Amino acid sequence: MKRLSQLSLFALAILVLAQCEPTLNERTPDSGQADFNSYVAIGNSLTAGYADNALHRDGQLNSFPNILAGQMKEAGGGDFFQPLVNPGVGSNADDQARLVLRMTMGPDGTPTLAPAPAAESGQDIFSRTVEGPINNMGIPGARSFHLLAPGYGNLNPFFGRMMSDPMATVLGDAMMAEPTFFTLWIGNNDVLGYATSGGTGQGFAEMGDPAAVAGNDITPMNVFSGSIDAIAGTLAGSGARGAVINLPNVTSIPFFTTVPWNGLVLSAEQAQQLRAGYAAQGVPEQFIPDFQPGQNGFIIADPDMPDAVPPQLRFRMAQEGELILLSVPQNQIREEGLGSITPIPDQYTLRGAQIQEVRQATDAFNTKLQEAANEYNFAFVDVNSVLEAAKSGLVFEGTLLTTSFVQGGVFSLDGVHLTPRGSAVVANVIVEGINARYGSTLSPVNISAYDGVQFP
Amino acid sequence: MKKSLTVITASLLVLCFAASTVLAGGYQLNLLGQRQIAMGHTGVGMPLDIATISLNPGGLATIDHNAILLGSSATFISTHYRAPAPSSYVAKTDSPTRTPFSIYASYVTPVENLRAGIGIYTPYGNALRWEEGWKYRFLLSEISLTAIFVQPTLSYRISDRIGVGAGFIFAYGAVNVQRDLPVDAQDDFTPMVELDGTTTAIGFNVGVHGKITDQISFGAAYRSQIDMEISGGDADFTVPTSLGGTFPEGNRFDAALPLPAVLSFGLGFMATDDLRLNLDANLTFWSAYENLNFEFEQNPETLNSIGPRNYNDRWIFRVGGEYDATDRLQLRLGSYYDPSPVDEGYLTPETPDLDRIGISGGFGFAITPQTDLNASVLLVLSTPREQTAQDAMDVGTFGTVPVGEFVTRAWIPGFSISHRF
Repeated sequence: MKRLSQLSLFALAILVLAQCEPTLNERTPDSGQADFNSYVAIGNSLTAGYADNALHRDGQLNSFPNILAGQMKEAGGGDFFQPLVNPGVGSNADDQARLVLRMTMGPDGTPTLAPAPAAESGQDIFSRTVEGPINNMGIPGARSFHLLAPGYGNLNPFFGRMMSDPMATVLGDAMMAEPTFFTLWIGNNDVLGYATSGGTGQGFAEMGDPAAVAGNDITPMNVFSGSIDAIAGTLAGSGARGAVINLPNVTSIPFFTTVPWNGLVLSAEQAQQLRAGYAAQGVPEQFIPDFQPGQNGFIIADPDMPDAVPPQLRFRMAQEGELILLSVPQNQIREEGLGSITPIPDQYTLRGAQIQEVRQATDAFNTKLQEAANEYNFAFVDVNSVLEAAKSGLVFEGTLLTTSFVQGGVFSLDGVHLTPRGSAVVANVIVEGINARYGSTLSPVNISAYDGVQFP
Repeated sequence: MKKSLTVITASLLVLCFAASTVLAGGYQLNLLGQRQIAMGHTGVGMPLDIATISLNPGGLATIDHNAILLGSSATFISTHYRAPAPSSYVAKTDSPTRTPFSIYASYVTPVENLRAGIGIYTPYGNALRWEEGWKYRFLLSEISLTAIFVQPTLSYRISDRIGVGAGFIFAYGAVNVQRDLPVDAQDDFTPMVELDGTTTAIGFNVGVHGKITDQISFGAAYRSQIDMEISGGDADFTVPTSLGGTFPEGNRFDAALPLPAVLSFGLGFMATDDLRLNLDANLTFWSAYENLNFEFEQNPETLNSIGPRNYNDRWIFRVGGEYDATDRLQLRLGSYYDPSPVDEGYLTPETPDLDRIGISGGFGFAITPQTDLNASVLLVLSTPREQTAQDAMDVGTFGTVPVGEFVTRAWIPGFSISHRF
């Protein structure tokens, strides 16, 4: 009997051991000195979750602010109300549906993958308005000064569908959500408007008038600075804490890097034919591009040539470092001699001097954003350097992410906006910046849980 | 006796809170006999029963009866993963329970001093399934590795004190590996690849057993390395149609996985008439496992992968005892220390390996003078192990191995029945 009780004690010990749990406990994120109770995201299309050339529900659900808000919820964050559109193909301001990858048969019968609109036209996302207060105040198309402009909703339907009043400002509506925490990612369009239109507008200028800024201009420095000061000051004045995010260089964005400057590949015979063709049109010898077998720079228009050059001769070969935009009609390059027989128009290229304008503006704006963050002790998030590093590839959880078009996984099919996976990368960079500044322990997300570009 | 059991119980409970549990080193399964498992998997120096066919073929010469022995264990293993701070992410495995088994039969041949036997056993194996959508799903979602050895054996008693034995091993191996692919589909499915293959190979197992005195015996055994070379296994890609060029249908793969050689030594002590003690040491030649490479028949430029493993040879030290509580009941206890053969930087989702301490117990009960029942339970304890990004960068595996902490809990009950005639 005694032996039996000893045995049962031993058996009990074994049973207890068998039930004992491993010791890796889940961590509980902490908000540190920050308060995530009411998080408001202020910005443009990148904040809105615009992707694949349209605002659509999938993109909104995977916007970096929505991802971030999910992580904040683990550290006392509240609900995050987004102005969601109905499920569907979404729409941009020109009533076009989102892009999706489609298999198409080329003229020679080879299947190629290319982005194509998911439907003939966009879905109606503008007629149904959304009542605030709204946590995601990302307004596609917005520049810095637009956030402060009364009545901006009458000019921009993306704000029009959610403005609290016909004379409301984006910032004013954002403040109605009484933010305890904010992210501010603004200024991209202040540069991109110029860059995506091929540098056809006004370049970087120190002084200017916001009312005179056209869609393809770079916002003048004084306008940008004044807007950032006003926005940051308003947010700081309310007692909110937050993070200011900087602007990526265009050379990290596939819209500018996908079509190679020297993608014109010729045989010796083709090179000879092209030279002969130019000569036959009466182009003087010194203006005939030096076509060679192998890779050549595309022929691009260069309206900035000296006055001595007759307008019809203002073209040349692109040089290393110059950018051909993703918007260039690529079928015309393949089939109609665009970029070889005829020059690529200026609106599809960024030439050396134009790239300098863009770079100068990006650097100046980023300096301003950092100064504003420092002045008010906000977190400053250097997304620019992360995307710079991603050009050569970033490894997450067993997969390589790059900034290349389609395959890279970070940028969506419009070449400018993020995929869900790209948004997750950005959200994690912001988490890092917030934690460093506010002593919080927000958890990053798993990159592998978010999709890149979806294939048919 | 009661006091010592209380101490054991208390210390087991302390270990429970201080540590957690995992199975055997690498993908080795030291579950060759229930009586041995209960004694810390010792028995190389003392042939306790005909499971010595696999532990030490030299010991079979000392067994003077025909016998059969059928046994099996059940593995209950759960591995936990925690991402590096400040991540709140944790993941668990949902691994299927496996039943490694052993079947032995021995025969006293008409030839004097010659014994024959056969063993069918599973010295290596792995079964691990991570929860769906886990963080490192692009590295591995599920693996199943099975190795079954069939070993006909002859053992000869050279003198009253020395016996030798040798077995030929015919090995069957099957492997199935599944992982998600880092591409996404417009349709509602997760692109993935399943690699599936089987193979056969041969090897040998030799041993010597001797008595130094009537009280002390010794044994030494060597089981050879067996290379599981899979040639033309099925590589089944589930991918979007437009990616069929990159991940072609009907693809095949080659891969090789070594089942390392093991050198074992053992000492047995007949301490009293009713108490037997064993000390064993095993050296597993894990350094044979340098790489796990997959080579594909179609599109090898994109699909081939090289996975450095660079395992190290490792000694396992074991101690065990058996006490005759009554004429029919034997109680057993044992323990072992099994250091991980894997360095930081080489921990993979299929073998998140840790240093372990095994604690086992069990009993044997004679139903009849010819028939015994044996039961064992094995607990394998370890502390969590962390692999940092720096560890992986230092050895050049960053991006191909997980970063974070792992811990595994396992308890392995087992049961066998033997009959002598």
